[in-house]
Amino acid sequence: MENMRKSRIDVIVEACEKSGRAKSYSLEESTRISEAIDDQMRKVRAEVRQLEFASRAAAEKILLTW
Amino acid sequence: MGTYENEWITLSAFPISQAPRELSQLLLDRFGFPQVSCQNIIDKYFTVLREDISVLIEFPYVDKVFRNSYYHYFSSKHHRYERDSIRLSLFEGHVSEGHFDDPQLLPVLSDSFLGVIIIRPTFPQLFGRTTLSPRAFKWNDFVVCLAKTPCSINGLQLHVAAFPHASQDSEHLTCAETSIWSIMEYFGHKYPDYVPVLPSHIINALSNPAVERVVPSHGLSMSQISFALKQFGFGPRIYSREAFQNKERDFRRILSWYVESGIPVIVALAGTGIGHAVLAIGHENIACVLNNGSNCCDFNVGSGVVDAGDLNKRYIVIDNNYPPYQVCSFDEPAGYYAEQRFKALHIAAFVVPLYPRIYLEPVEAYSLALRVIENVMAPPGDMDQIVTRFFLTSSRSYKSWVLRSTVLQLELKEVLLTISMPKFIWVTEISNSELFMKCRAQGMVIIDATGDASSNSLLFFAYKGSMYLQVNGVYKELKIGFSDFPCYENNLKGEWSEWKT
Repeated sequence: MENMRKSRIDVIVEACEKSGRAKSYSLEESTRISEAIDDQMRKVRAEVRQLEFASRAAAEKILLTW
Repeated sequence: MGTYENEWITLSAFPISQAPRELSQLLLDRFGFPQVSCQNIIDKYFTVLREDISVLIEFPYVDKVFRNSYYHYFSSKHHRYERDSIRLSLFEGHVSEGHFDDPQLLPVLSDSFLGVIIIRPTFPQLFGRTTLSPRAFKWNDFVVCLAKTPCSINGLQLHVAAFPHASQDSEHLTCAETSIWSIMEYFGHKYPDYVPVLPSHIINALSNPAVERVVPSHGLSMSQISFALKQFGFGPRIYSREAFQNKERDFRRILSWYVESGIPVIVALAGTGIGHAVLAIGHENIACVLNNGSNCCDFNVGSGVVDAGDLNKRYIVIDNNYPPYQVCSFDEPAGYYAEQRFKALHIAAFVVPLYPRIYLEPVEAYSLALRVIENVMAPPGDMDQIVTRFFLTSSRSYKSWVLRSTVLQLELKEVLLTISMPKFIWVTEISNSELFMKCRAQGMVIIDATGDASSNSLLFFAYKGSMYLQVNGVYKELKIGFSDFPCYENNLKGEWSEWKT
C-alpha cells in the first residue's frame, strides 16, 4: 500500500539520491533561479501585450477579397 | 440544357490522361459549359497529379457544400444554375467500374483510394470540395496537417487522409470564407470539439455584427475571419506584420512554430490593391531544407542559440485558386502564381485557430525555455551551440510518443509519463547542429500552455543526461544519464506516417 501512495517520480528521486546521482539546490538558490527567470520574463510579457494590441488594430485594415 | 430529374447515377472510370476530355464533354452535355475552356481548366489542375491514377466520374452527385450555396444564394439569381455536381474519385493504378462488382477486389479499392474532387456547375470556378491525399501528387516531399475523411463511393465506405480544399466561387464565397470553411472541415473531421460548417453557417456567423449585407461576398477583413473562428469554438490569435516591424524574426518564428505544431494557419497575403487568404498547413521535409544551401540558419557558427523556426524552409499552402499542397517561401508566398501582381504579394498577417484554453503566447513560452537553458541547464560561457525546435502539442500525443518510444531512457520515460500535464504543452527540444541534422535531440523543456509567462509554468526540463524537477520549491538535478533521442514527430504527417493520421 505504501508503494501505491508513492509516485514513480518519488522512487526515481530516492534512487538517484541514494546512489549519489542527485544534486539538490538549496531553497535560497532555487528561489534566486526562479526570481531571475521571472524578472526576465516580465519584460517579455509587456512586449507581447503591446504586440497583441498592435496586431489587432492592424488586422482591421487587412482586407482579403481575392 | 437537358433535364435529368430521376436519372440513374452514371459511373465511368478512365485513366487520368483521358479524364479531362471525358469530363469536359460531360460538362458540355449536362451544363452547357464550353468544352475547350473546361478542358484547359481541368488539364491545368491535373498536371500536378500522378500519371498512374484512375478517375471514376460520377454524375449526378449531391454535394452538401455546393447544395448549401445553391439554396442560399445561386437559386435566388435570375440566371439558371444547376444544383447537381459531378464527383471524381481518384484511385492509384488501374481501377474500373468492375472492381465494385467483385467483393474480393474491394480491399484493393480501399488501399488505392486517393480521395475525391467535386466539380461544381459554377463555370469557370469548377473545383468544389476536394479531399485529396498528398499521395496523389507528383511531388510530396513534405509534412502537413491531415484529417481522416470518410467517403462513400458507389456504396463502399472509404477513408482518405487529406487537407480539405475548395476553389472559391467568387460570389457566395471568396478566398476568406473558403479558408474558414477549410479550417472547420479539417478540425471538424479531426477533433470532437469542433464541427464542419457549411457556407450558410459562415455567412450567418458573420451577419450578426455586420452593418451591411454579407452576400454576395466582397471579402473579409482579418478581424472578421478571427471573429468567425471564435464563433465556431476557437480562441483565435491574430499576428500582424505591421505590429512586428522591429521584431521581424519573431513574426517569422511564430508562423513557423504554429505550423510545426500542426495547426493550420490562415495567412493574409497583401500587395497593391490585392488581399488574398491562403492556409499554411505544413512545410517541406527538413532534409530538403538542410540540403538547400539557401537556408538562413547559421548552424555551424560557434556558440549561442539558434531555432529551427529561423530555417528558410518552404511552406505547403492551400490556395483556393490552385490545386492543394502548393509550395512557397515566406518571402515569396505567392511565387507559384503566373501573374506578376500576385507574385509580388507578401505575408501581412496570420490568424491562428487555437484551442480556447491555450493561454501562453509562443514568444513567452519560448523565452521561458531560453531562460531555463541559460539560468539552469547551460549557463552562459558553458554553452555549446544550441539548436532548439519549438512547438505546441497535446500532452496526450506527447505521452503516447513517450510510451511508444523504444529508445528513450527508462527513467526519463517514467518521469515524463508520471508528470501531470494540461491538455496542451509547449515543448522546446534541445539539440546541437550535428544532432539536429539527424533529427535528434539531447534535452527538452516542457511548459504548461495554460500557464502564465513565469517559472510557475515550467513542468519539466532535461538536458545532456540530467533531468530537473521542482520538489517543494527546490530544484533537484537528477543525473540519470540518458542519451540523445529522436525528435518528436506527430504534429505533421507525411511519408513517415504513411500519409495516415
